[in-house]
Amino acid sequence: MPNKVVETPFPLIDADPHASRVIRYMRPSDYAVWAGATAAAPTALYLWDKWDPSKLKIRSQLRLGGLLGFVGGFLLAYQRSSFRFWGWTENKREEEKDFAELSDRARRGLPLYGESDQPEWIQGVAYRNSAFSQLKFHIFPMFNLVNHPHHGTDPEKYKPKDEPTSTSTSS
Amino acid sequence: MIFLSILILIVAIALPSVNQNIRTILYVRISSIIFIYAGALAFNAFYIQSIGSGIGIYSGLFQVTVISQLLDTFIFLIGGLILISWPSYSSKINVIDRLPNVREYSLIVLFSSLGASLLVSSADLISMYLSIELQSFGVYILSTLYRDSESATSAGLKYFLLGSLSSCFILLGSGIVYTYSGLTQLESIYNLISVSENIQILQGITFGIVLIIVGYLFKISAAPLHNWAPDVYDDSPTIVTIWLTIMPKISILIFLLEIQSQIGNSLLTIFSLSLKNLLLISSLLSLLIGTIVGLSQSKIKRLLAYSTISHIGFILLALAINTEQSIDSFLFYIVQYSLTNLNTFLILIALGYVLKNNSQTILESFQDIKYINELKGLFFNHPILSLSLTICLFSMAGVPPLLGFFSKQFVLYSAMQSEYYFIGIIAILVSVISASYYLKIIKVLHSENKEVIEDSNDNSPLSSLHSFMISTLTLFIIFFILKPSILLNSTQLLALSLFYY
Repeated sequence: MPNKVVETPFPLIDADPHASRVIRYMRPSDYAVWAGATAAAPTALYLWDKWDPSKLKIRSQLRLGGLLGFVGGFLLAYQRSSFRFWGWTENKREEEKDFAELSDRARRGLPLYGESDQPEWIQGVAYRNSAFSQLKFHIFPMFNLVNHPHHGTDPEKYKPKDEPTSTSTSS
Repeated sequence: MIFLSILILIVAIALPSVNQNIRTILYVRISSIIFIYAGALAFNAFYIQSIGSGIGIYSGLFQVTVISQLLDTFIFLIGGLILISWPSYSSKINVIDRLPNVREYSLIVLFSSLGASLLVSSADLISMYLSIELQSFGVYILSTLYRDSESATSAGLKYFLLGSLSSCFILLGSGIVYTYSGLTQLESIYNLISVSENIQILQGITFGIVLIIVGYLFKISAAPLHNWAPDVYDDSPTIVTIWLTIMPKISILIFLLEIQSQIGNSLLTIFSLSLKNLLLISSLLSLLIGTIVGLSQSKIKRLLAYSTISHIGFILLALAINTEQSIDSFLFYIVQYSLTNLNTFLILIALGYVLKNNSQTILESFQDIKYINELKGLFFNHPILSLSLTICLFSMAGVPPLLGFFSKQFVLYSAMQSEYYFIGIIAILVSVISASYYLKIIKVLHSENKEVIEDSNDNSPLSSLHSFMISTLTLFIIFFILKPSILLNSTQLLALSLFYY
């Protein structure tokens, strides 16, 4: 699968961020969306029952609705955070945070995107499966759980300026 | 979201502690909410500039395009609205108890929508076939929802057997395309046919694609492959027919758009013409059969099935022309058809509740409106519902200034502009003729009935949300002319994205 070059209005930070990074980089507004979506499902079900009484016990339904709202809210927040990594939405804060984090890893001589014990071709498969999968979160969640080296950015920018460019950049 | 929700619902249905406390209607409401969430997620990922011409996902098995994202949102929205039509509660006779206790209904509609959404994004022959089967299996089971009903079971079996036949066509076509090209990925196939000069390969691929399109035309009940549709729609419960007439058609038509727009522009003229002619012949026959055979129907759902076939004729005409303007009208027609059909069936279901709920006899299954004559004099008992149905039927007939008029006008305008005069004139004629069968229903609605119909408003299971949706959709159909720009601009943007990215 050839790499898709996507025109983005903001700088690209990571084309296929690891799930842990996406969650760590979430903004308070993402958590608010997550919480709001979690609350919205049982609220909608409750109001629906108030409007059109089913005359049935709805406690279990509300719990189930809450669980589904939690899942939907998480996916929504994950999408929002991912779009900032891709540079599709405003991402100044994430850009600075990413630069600080990865520069620190580069300075300490660690692989930029973590280590993986998988062979390289498996990492490639993982990348191809999870790249841009956030766009289809309404159907199927496919998170990147592999520390592969395919992130669409130049690792050189994270290397200390005063040191030779021999630092390992990826696994 | 849909996949995770299916897993969660499977566990909930399997757990006795949860399942005993949640009745079918509550599961249906949860599914409706799931659809709204899925629609929100699809819309949240709608970035025109960044998505551009499309982005391959899942190793290139699927692709996300601007059209797929927006149509996914639309599909889920319609799915959520369809589920609103389930009855809530009746004080005298508990309609819920008369409905089959199928908790799996929610799961089946979710599975079917999963297939529909995947089909819209399919970018590979294998993922395409699996998606269409996932969607189809769901609707086969849905049509046999009332297991105790002989007609519903026979409809389901007929649908399954004929649907399988069409799936065989799709599979055979895919096999032939693979035999001649050695490829399954659609993008690679488009590239091959745009550069290949080997006539044998091009002939083989064209033949395979024609077979695939024939299979899909079968599934959307386009003439002359339409025979199953009136029987299945009529025999299935209306609460299922509403799903069958809208949901599978949207996804298949969008997939056909993808094939037509890519292959129509890549193939040599002679092969491209064969695809175009196939669509035009099917369009012409759909227009004629949908209109003429519809004239002799006395059952309302059979009549609406023929009306659907006629609408498919218009949609296929717009698809066959394949210009910016025709694709714009194609998308607009799909949106219009879905909304008008949704409202019509919501009203029919509502009428079933208010008219049949008086019966004190224990019914084997929930009763639907079957014959047009059952609507006689309805205007005098239920004026608002009757007026809403009248407006929907006028819209379907293409009476200005309702929504349906604009969609037909756009298709005919693009046909005339592209010099398809003959089929354009046929479309105008059949549109006029089809107005007569819509007027027949309207006449029955407003003619006085000598039998006194007992007013059943007090114990009607028609829910407030159901009434609210009917009124909202009816008002949208009427007042679309006042603010048409949002919908028109959206469809135009989608059509342009197909040609200029």
